[in-house]
Amino acid sequence: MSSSDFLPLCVPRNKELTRFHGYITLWNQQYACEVDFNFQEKDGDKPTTKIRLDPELQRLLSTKQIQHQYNSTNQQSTYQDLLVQRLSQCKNYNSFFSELKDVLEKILKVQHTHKQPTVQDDLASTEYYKQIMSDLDEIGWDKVSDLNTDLSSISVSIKDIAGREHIIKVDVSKNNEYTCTAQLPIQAELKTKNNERITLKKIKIEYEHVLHSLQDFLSTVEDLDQNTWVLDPENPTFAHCMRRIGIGNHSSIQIEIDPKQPKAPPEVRFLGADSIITPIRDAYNQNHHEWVIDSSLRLNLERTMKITFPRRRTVTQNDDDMSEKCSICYSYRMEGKVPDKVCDTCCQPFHSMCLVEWLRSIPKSHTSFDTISGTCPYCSSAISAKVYNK
Amino acid sequence: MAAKRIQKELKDLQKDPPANCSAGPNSDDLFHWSATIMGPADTPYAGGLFFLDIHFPTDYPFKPPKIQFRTRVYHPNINNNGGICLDILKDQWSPALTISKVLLSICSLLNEPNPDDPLMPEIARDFKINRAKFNNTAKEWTTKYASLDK
Repeated sequence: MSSSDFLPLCVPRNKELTRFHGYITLWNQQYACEVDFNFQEKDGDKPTTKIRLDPELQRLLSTKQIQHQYNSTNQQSTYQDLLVQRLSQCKNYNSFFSELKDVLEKILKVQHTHKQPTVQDDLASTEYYKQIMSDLDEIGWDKVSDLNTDLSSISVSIKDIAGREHIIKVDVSKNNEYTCTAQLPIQAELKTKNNERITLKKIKIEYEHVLHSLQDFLSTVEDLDQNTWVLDPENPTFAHCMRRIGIGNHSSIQIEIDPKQPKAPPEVRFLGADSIITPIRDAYNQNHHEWVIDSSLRLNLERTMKITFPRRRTVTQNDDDMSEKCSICYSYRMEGKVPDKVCDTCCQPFHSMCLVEWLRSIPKSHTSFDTISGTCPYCSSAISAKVYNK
Repeated sequence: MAAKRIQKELKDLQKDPPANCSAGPNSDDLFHWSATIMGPADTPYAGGLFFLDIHFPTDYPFKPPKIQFRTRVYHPNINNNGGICLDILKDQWSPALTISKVLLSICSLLNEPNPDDPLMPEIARDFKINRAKFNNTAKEWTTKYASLDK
């Protein structure tokens, strides 16, 4: 009897053929193993076979079994217990080695299917990291606000003259090229003479230029965000040039600020009930001569429209009365949209799509071209809405 | 969308409950509520506690909630199955209404039956012609089916 049929890579270590040393092949991979047989002749005595395995296998053996199907009663036992149990029933080398191989292969398979895929194998060259590290050293580590472990994404923090912090997100490609974005309406143009490499320092300098040219825009937008009730975007940043500002009574104005000329009169859309909006729109159109180019955009809007913007804080105190929630679905944002329709009579705000759906569900309303007309669910006065193609 | 609105109504209902009524979801199912109404004083329903089932359709609030009495009521506009004849639960429904407003409407229906649009013509006739008999039977039913001391 020889072990070679089952473990061709094992060699006997003694004359009695009870000790073997070598490799065991599991799923086409070799693992070191050492077996010391000690079959007992008498029944009842347990054989004291010793097995020493590759440290990796040894570690797997001591882990808890993962829902293996062939021993459902022993959920909490380790693989080692299972192996001992299986091997103790073996009477000869044949069955011993086939059992050993079978159990170990099963463990490896279970472990493999439960293992998280790791992306460690394609690390870039040393040069790649050296280059990034020297670039980072050049701009100074205090400017780095975040970076991931493989240095493929770096966040650089810079401050403008007014002390506002801006984060430039830099992505590094495999050949050390940087692409970057910042939360600004304008991005820096990264061009160099003679195809020179763009370094992080160059990026920082270019963005400082951009920030310098955007100072007026930044302070205008900051002033609006701090001192008015911005309804949209939900979380305004410097990258957004649009602001929808609540003016009370379920009405609002939407402005588009030109980043290059932030103090010029912007394009304004008036949203809300006619009775509220019309005087403001008329005032805005008539009082253009009162626009002072040195004053801030907010003050100019207030001056020409003859209103004062309510602040968010004063509004949230009586949240329920002043909230702009849709009176049909009772939510503010629905599929990203905010209520954009107001009843001209009772001033109840609605999402266009909620109003359309309601008007469609009652027989009294009628559709002509893309407009559906019916009555307001609150005050029964005439109301209409544009039907959107879904 | 319906779930969000129902949740909001539930919150408002708990914050500001309507007089003599209560309502809330049965278990985890937000679309299936139970409600109670106390019989209004100075009516034959006084002293009774009436249970109701509320089913919200999935397209609520575009469609009205389905409401039924689980307690038997002797009333011209409420049938033997607990069905209620109330315009706002049918063609007069509007998203401007809430469960709280609907329950208050049912309360006032108990106060003032509408015998000209009856669901139970016999009861409506008693109500119109023989009010004493109507009051007696309604009071009997209240004691028998809706009494709190049961």
